[in-house]
Amino acid sequence: MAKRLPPREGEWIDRERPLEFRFEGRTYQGFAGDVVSSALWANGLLIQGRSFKYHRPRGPVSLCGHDANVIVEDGMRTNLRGDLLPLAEGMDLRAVNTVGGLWKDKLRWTERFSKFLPVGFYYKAFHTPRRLFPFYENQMRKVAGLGEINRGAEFASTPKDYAFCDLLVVGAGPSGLAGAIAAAEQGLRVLLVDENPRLGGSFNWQLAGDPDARRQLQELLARVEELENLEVRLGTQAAGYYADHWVALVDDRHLTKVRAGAMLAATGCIEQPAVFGNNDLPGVMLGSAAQRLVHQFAVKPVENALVFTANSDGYRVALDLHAANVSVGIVDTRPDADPTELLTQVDEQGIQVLKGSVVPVATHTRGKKGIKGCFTWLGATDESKQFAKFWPGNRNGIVMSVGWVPNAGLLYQAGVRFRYAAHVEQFVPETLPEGVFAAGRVNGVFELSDRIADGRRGGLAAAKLLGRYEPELPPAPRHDSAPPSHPYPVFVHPKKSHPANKEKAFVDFDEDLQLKDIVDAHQEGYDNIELLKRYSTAGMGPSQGKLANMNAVRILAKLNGKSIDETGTTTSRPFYQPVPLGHLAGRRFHPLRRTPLHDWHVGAGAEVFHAGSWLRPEYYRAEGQSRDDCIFTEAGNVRERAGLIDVSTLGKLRICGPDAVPFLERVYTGRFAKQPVGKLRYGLACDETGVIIEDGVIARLAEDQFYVTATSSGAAAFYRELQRWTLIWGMDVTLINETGHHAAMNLAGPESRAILQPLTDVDLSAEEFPYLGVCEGTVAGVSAKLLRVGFVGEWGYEIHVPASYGLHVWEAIISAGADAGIRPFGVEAQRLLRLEKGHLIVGQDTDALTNPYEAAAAWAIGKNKPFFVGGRSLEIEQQKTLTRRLVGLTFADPEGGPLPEECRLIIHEGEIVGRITSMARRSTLGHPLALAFLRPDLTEAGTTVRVRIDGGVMVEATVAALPFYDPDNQRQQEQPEHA
Amino acid sequence: MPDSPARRSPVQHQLDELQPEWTTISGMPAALRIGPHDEERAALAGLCDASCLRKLGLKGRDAGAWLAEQGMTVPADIYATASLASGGIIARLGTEEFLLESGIADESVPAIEAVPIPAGRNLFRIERQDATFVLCGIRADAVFAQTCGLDVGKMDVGRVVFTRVAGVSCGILPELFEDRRCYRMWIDPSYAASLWQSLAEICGDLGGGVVGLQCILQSFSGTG
Repeated sequence: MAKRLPPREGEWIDRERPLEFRFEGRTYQGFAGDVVSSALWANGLLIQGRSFKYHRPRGPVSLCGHDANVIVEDGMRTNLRGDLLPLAEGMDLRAVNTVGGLWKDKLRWTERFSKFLPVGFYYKAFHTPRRLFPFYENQMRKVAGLGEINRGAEFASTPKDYAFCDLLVVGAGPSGLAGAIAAAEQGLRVLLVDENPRLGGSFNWQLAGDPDARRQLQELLARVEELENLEVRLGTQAAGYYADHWVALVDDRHLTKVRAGAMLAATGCIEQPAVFGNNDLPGVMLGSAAQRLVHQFAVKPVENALVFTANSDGYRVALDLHAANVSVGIVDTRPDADPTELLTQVDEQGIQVLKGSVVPVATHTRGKKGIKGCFTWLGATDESKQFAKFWPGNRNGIVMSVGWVPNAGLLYQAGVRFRYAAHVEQFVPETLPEGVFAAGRVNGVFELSDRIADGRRGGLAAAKLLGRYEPELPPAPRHDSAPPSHPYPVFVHPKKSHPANKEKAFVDFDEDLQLKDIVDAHQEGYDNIELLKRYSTAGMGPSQGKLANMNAVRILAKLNGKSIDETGTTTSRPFYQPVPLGHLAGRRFHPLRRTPLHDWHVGAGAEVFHAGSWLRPEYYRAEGQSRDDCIFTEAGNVRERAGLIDVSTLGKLRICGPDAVPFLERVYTGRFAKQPVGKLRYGLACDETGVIIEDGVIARLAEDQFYVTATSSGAAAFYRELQRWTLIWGMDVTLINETGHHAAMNLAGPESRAILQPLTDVDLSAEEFPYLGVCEGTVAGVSAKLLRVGFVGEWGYEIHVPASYGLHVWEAIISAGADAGIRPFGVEAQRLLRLEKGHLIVGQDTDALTNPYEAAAAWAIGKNKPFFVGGRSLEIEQQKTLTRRLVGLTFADPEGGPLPEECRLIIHEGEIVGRITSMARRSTLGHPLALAFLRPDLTEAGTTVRVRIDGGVMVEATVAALPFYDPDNQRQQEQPEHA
Repeated sequence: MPDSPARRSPVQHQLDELQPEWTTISGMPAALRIGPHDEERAALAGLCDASCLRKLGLKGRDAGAWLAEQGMTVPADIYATASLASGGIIARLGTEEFLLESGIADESVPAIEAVPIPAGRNLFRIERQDATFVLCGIRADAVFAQTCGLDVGKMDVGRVVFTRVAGVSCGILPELFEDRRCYRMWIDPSYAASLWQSLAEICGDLGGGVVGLQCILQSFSGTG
């Protein structure tokens, strides 16, 4: 580790814990506390990645995740940012986006063709001939994109969680610490988060060389320790802000959804690069990166550095580098820098300063693997001045310190309005929504004492808002020295043809976007910042423009001749840093409903399927039988003997009270006033447009009490609709939803009565309990409601019992029916049986536009009703000519021949005249059946129509009268043997 | 209703797999102990099935008055609860709606069920077959942190809150058990198995797991 500095106070590495790791096939050493980039740098490895488009060698620029120059994969995970990735023993890392490895990347030759690869070249070049576009697209996809997903990666549990606090403080630098402490001292429950592994923010790098600052940090940290109502989460980014102070926190394990009473953003600033020729070479870095290397990781950034600065921060950087035994010189863009204490110290250390100068180009070593010097242009604003080679030869580092942008993503997302403030040459918050506060550098305050004061003010302001602080707030500090940012950190030689301008000057390192690309885009008419972004891809890379957006705005503003405010900014969206998709997925919650008989079904070999939110038996597997055979056998058993199906999924609603009858008459199309107690009626409900939304049976249990069933998938929505109507109409009804609280089963078939009678105290004779009757009694000793229904076309009983007794009753019936040949049947057999009976299923045989006339259900509409939901619309529909009608279709039984599936179209004389809604390829009637919508002029029984199936094959079908099975309902009448 | 254990918890199948020590409470098999680590699990994050407790719902304008006539202390505020004679609970879920749940040895609910509702009263019995789960332990709040968007740890003891846990609608009643917070949850029985699976997995991740009724029996017997 040739570049490792001697131990220093405050360093983050643990020299007692050396680590060994591999990078690009070679073995290196580092320490616990290192990030991958710092460890590589300590080993003298500046080239740590390749650029996206031109595959130029790259090294870290920000060393804090603000650039994407170093992206690696470790075999299991990909697209890990090397400047944030904590070093671990045994890591085996490779740089992404190379072909043949980092050192011998075969795509490095791409740069030679860069002249032919301007922004959007693929749109411009590959659109003709069209037949070749797939080839071009394939090649582009091969060379573009970062990293490869490892499909064999181990599953990692990433459960999301919620957290709550009065005040969320984002950023644990001087302002954030002060704000969190001030708020906690007022009694607020404070959550302080920071993306770094240690508290302190810029105390740890920018101010680390200042003994007085170190003392202040220790005082703040001690106070944090004392406050029990101040929780700290480190290594945690505030990834996004959502409504009502809902903030997504992401750490290396999971995502936390924080609901805060207020938020204080003390997120600081992001240091910005200067734009000049070869500003991307390894060895060109931000001043803050150099300070991080020195103070946090004890790594010597370079041997001979030129600090290119436009503010006093650069002088602090130069002093830090000098203290780390780096040979330093300063190029200051300002002819007359502020006479601060730092300047005095620089003079005292004998550091040479070239004022009023800029760096328009760096010179590179062979293969662009580093820099060997740079040119400076004396006279930053006067092109007539000297353009000279300055410190050539052995300068291997350029450290940029030309300005900052507020790290304001969260604030933008929170709805904060910003304005450009010339006194700091950056955007500052102008208006903040209630409960959102900003402090410190993001707020345009730069002096340490001001930042601490501003943070404290922010914490108190939050406490005041939340009722924990009454006095007047202290005054807001204001930056009153020279602007810390250069207004236009773009440095090119004014003579366009000058050789210095032939070198690439990058605005966005992520996408290899050059200054000339933005100029070209502007010339092509992309003069709006949002359009420019999308055309040029500025700010669209992995780092989302943290180092590029502001420079792009400044360049566009200059090209347009407008102010920064007029130019505006692009929209900030979550997430602040890339978030693994697994973190967003978290633990999966997909609640599924099970009936009380679910486990029995599974034990009996049921094939379970998802029916809406329910799990239901589709059919019961039988050895040696296919799915179709099983279904057909189950259906046949119902027709011949008896079957039992679990219908617990039906909606089970109670409508009670003095207004129950008028309420039902308003909700349903039918009439219920004269419905006797102990009787069932079919109910059909429509929405206001007359479209069918529900059906079921309505059982009158008492004069003022009805028990209503609803479709399995529609019950919840229908109940909400009933609640809505109750409120709107102000009727005296009590609604009760007992859907999940009852088990229900349908015992059907000619043997059903004989099976049930011994189990119940209800007289099941046809006289006492006729078709469409309802009564209450016991079954297997359990209180039950019995409904005589015929949905599947056979004599049968729907039995409703309390859910906890469901299995007991089910098993009792199965046991009692064993000798009679009872079998359970699943949903598919039920669908077949009801289809034979011509009963529609709402949602399958109706769609979002079907009215009762189309569904052949006009009989369910009560005559002369004064009002019901959808009634007025149906009156209008009745005046219109029907365009379709639900009919039955039969198919000649071509054994094994082609048959349509559901939703196939019916074609007549070249026109679509209908579609299949339900299809049974096999029925107990001996031939295939279907329900279908059909044009009314074709619905006469016996009409032949043609259905188009796969491959354009046409299959003939014949219109049949409904129901197919038992048209006279004889199966519901007393049979001679029971009489 | 049959006296034999004809009732069945909606999570009985999940409990069966753990081979617990069974007992019968109110006609339903109830897992008394899951294993030797019940107490340790309960201290961290214990999930217990108490679905055996009988329940009854009442709804209607006269529900509150009628319950008072039966000698019950009727909570005045919506979402407030009161104790039944032998450890059961009465919760006011709305202006006109109540939920009654028996304690372990409490026959309050069957007794009330047996009382005929006089004609002319605006009062309707509701079938309540909710699953009852109890979440206990010092990490119970952490379980909710992964499953519920409300700050459950700050909820008032003795007041019911309706929310969603792991995507399932349920009522949560914070209670004190031996001076520690625990949470009684009422869930639609059709969702119970799904929610149980989620909660049991999270409790396990947090060092706890499924525990038997023995751990919390005192709480439901009216002496806790």
